[in-house]
Amino acid sequence: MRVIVLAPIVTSPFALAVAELVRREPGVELAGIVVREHLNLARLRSELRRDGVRLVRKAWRKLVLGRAPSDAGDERGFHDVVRELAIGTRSLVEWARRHGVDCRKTPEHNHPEAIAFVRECRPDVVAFTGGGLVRKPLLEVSGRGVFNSHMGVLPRYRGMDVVEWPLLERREESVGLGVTLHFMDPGVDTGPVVAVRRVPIRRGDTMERLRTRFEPVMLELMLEGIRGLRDGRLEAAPQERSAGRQYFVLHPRLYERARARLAVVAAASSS
Amino acid sequence: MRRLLPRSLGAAVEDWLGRLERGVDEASQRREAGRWLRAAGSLAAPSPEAVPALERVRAAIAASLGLDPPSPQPDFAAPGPLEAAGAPSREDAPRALVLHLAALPCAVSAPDRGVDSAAPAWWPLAGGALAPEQTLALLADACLGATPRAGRARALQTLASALAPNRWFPREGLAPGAANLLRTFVADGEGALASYAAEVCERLLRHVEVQRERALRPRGEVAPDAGRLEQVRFTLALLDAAERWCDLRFLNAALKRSDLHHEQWVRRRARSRHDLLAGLHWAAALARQEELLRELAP
Repeated sequence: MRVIVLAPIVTSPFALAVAELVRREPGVELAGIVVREHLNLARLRSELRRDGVRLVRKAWRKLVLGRAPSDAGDERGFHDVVRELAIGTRSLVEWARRHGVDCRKTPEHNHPEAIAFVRECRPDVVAFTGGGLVRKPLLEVSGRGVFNSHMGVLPRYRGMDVVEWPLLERREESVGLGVTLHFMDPGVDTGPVVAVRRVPIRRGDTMERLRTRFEPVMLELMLEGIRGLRDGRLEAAPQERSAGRQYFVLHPRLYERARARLAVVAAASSS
Repeated sequence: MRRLLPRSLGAAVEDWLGRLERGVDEASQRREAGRWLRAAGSLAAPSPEAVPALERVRAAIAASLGLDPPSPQPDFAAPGPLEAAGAPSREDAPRALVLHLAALPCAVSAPDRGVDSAAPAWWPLAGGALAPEQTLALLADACLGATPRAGRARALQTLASALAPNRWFPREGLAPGAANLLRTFVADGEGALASYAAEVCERLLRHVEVQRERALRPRGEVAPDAGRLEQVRFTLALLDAAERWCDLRFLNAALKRSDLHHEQWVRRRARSRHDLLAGLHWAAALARQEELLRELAP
């Protein structure tokens, strides 16, 4: 079975971990990697408009500080997985060169060059590890489809900040927090659902610790989806459009309330 | 000893980014709201009867934001009981008063570019389903609340039938009067009209969240100050939706829109009546936001 990985940036630890694990998986071939170019001004402007200072802060933490261990405590995240796998580089381009995998840099995933490359590779499935919406032309050349590990429980929580929104809406028990593996379609997180795995809140959790706890689950579900497809046992259930709502980036004042709610729930947690 | 050690550069940058991320300073927004409330004292009411309502709106918004009450207009007589003036009771302030405020500007701006000039813009949106004079009458009824409630429901039903939800936010820009019309749908819609209002509000939410500062652009023929007023009325429409359906997503969008208004024009001086109205609406939106934050996200 042939797999393509779509990566948001060259140094994405999620993409690196997926690529390495796919490479090691029997019966699966990593046919290629498509990574977005770092310096795309139009895209950076759009992301800055959408996420504002949060994007700058995220970039500062990831690219300048590296992951600050104190933020996530002892939670195991993507960086820890990359270290455990002894990948030996932080660059997808370097990793691809070492393992003889074709890696293309394009302005964005839906660019004609990216689509042409994916079409040439004839994948059975594409593993999306970040980088914006995937549009119809790319979906059409992606074999069975494009897997996405969404950080929210679908169909209820589609869109952005879906770790925080259930806390704000006090639905952390009734709906829960978790990761959903689904096939992407032209909508926002509306494609058929393959699997949902809940992520518990633990005593002493902060938002950083909690979000880090999602990371290995995203990776596990992605690999389970690939294995399921390889073994012919994959099932995907279409979503009812009306069963969920689209959520957007939280205003700082509501974000602080979500944080405060997490502190209360985490303090009451028995685990 | 620890106090003598300098903070690391990383921690200092983190602090600075954290402050930036928290966004517009709420105290500065309240100060601006106070300025607009004072400036709105020079608004000419459409009739002597409307003066008390306008004064009560200003006072209620100031009270809600914890500001000193603005000085009343010079010829404003001491208020009688609110109920006698036909305004909502004090317990409902500022929510009901803000709805009352929403009705005022239609009358205030009608001699300028209000309802009577909105009809041609709505005519193509309704797909030719209504005659121009019907559109005007329906808009007037819906916005000014001139007809009894049952009659207004029929007017709204006719408009809803002629105007599909996906035609409210066309690429060529919004028709003037759209915001107050949407607010009327949200406030008055029952049954199928409530579902229609919910669908339009969902489209409004996606529109403002995706388009951000490009959202809610008016049609080319609308003056910039009238366009700003319309935009802030849509912020009030988002707050109406948040309250009606207890949906924090709409409050979230309204908070962002208020910040955007603050960045784009709130700190400027008023140059026209539309500017004064826009400032007053923005102050009302701030008051409403604080109330809804307490109710929906304690």
